[in-house]
Amino acid sequence: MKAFPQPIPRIARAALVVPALVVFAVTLMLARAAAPPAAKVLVVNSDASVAKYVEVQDAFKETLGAGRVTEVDFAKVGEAGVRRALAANPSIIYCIGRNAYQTTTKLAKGKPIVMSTVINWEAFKPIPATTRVIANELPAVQQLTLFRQFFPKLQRVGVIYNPAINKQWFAQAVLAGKEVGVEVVGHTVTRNSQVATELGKLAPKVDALWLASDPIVLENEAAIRSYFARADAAKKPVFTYSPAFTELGATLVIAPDMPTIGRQAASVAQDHAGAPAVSTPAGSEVTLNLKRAQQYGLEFNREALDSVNNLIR
Amino acid sequence: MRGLRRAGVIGKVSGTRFTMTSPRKLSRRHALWAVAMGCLGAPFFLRSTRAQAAGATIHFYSPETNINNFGTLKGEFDGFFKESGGHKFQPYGVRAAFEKAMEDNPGGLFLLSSWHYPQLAKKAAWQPMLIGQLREKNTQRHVLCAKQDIANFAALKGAKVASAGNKAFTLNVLADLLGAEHRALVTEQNVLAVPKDIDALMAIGFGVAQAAVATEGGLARLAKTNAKQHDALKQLATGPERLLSIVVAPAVPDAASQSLIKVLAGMGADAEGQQRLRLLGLDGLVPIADAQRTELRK
Repeated sequence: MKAFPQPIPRIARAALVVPALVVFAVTLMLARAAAPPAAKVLVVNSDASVAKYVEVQDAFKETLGAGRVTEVDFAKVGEAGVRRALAANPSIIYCIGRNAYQTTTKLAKGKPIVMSTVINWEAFKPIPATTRVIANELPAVQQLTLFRQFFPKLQRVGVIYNPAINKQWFAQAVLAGKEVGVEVVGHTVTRNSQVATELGKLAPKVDALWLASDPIVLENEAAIRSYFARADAAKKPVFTYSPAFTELGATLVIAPDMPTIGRQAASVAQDHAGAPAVSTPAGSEVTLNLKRAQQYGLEFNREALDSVNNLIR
Repeated sequence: MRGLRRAGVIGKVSGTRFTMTSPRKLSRRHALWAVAMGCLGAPFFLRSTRAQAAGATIHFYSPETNINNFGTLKGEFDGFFKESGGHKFQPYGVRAAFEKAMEDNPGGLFLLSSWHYPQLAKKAAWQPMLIGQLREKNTQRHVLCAKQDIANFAALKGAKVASAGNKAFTLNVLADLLGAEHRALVTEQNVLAVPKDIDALMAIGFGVAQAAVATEGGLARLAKTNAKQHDALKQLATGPERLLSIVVAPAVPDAASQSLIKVLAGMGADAEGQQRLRLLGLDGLVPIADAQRTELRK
C-alpha cells in the first residue's frame, strides 16, 4: 500500500521558507552589485533634420536600447548644449557627422568616442587611443563586386581622379578590379577644367564610368551636371557611390547602408577598447536605374534584383 | 540639385577636406503651388482610389532580409497589379505592425516567411495557399561561413556574426547550424544585421565580422563574382532545407482575394511579373503541396 506523505507543520514550513527567501534575496543583491552598470551613451547628431543622420541614430538606439542613450541635436543646441550634455559624464560619446565630432572632440578630451557619417574623416586625424571610426565609404572591392554582380559582362570601368587626393584609393581600386575581373582604367586631373577632355578620351575605352568621391571632379553643381551630360552623350553608364546622383542619371549607385552603420557603431560602443580603430561600413544600399541600363544596352543580371533598394524605370 | 547639397557630395577643397554644403529650404511660393495643385487634383485622386478599391491587398513582411526596399516593392507591385485587377501590395518593416494587419484584415492575403507562420497565435485561421519558388525548388539552405583561421564552433564564442536576417531569425538559423551543444556560443549581442547575403559574407573579409550566416544561393553568387573573397571563407556548417516564403489566406477567400491569388500564381510565368518577384528573391509563387502544408503546421 502506498503511504501518504505526512503534512509538514506550519511552523516547520516557515522555518524552511524564510531562510530560503533570505538566501535568494542576498544572492540577488550580490549579483546586482557585481554586475557593472550599463554604460551611459551620449549621441551627438550634427543635424537631426538630415535624413541619413536620423537613420543612423535610430538604428544605433534600437541596437543599444533607448534607456542607455541621451541624444543631442547639435544644429539646435550648439556647443553650449553639447557642453551641458557632457556635464552628465557619459561613459562614451557617439558623434554623427562632422560638426558633432569637431565640437565633441574639443570639449571631451580623453573620452571614448565613436564617429561615423563623416565625409573625408581622415582629415580630422582621429586619435586612435580614444576614437573609433565607422568609415563613410564602401571599400572599392565591395563596389566592384556589386558592379559585376549586376552587370556580369562588365570588363572595363573608367575613373577620373585627382592623384593628390585619390592616388592611394585608385591603386586599391586597380587591385580590387583584378580580384573581380574588371580592369579599372584611370585618367588624372588636377583642375576641374581638365575633366571634359579626359572624359572624352576615357569614355571610348571603357564599358562604364565610375564616379568616385573626388572634390576636383565634383567641384560644383555645374561640374557634376556637365560630367553626367558628357557621359550620356558618349552613351556610357555612370556607376557611383551616392544616391544623390540618382536624379542626374546614375545607372548604378552602391552606397553605404545607413542603419547598418548605426548598428556597427552600437557594437563598437559596447566594446570600445576591443574594437578596431577604423571599421568599413558592412552594409550596402543599391539603386539601379533600369531605364538607363536598357538605354545603354547593358545586360543586367535579373538574379541580383533582390539586392536592390531603389529601382528606377 | 537639392539632393546633392543635402547629401554633401559637392566638393569644396580645403586642404584635403571635402565639406558639406547646407541644404536649400522650400520657398513659400513652391509650398502654395503644391497646395493649389493638391486641391485641384483631389477629385481625380479620390475617383481613382474608388476605382481601385475593388482589388485585394497582399501584405508582406520578412525577417529573412534587412533590405529597406519597401518603396520600390510597393511601386513595382502596385504598378504590375494596376493592369490585373487593381490589387495592392503593402510591405511592413516591423513584425508587430504586420501581425496587427493580420488581426485587422481577417479576409486579407499575407506573404510571410515559413519560419514566421508557425509562430502566429491564430495560424489556424490562415491557410497556406502559395509557396515561393527559386531555381525550381521551394526550399533553400543556410550556411555558416567564417574566416579560414576559425578552427571549429568553439572558436566562435563571442565572435561577431553578420547576417541578412533579423536577430530572431538569425538565432533560429544558428541553432540549426550550430546544434544544441553549441547554440549558446552566439548570442543576440553577437549578431550584426546587414541588408543582404553578399554584405554578410564580405564583412568577414573586411574584418567587421568573424563569421556570417547566408543562403547557399548567396554564397554561390559570391563565388561567381569574387572568387578570391569566396575562397577566403571556410564553410563551417550547412543547415537543413527550409521552405521559402508562403502566401496565406482565410480558408474561403473572397472573390477579390481569389483573383489576386490567381495573379500571384501567374507572375512567375510572365517576364514582367517575374521581374517583380525577383525583388523578393523568388522566381515564382506556386500552389503549395499538402506535404508542405503539413510541415508548416508542425
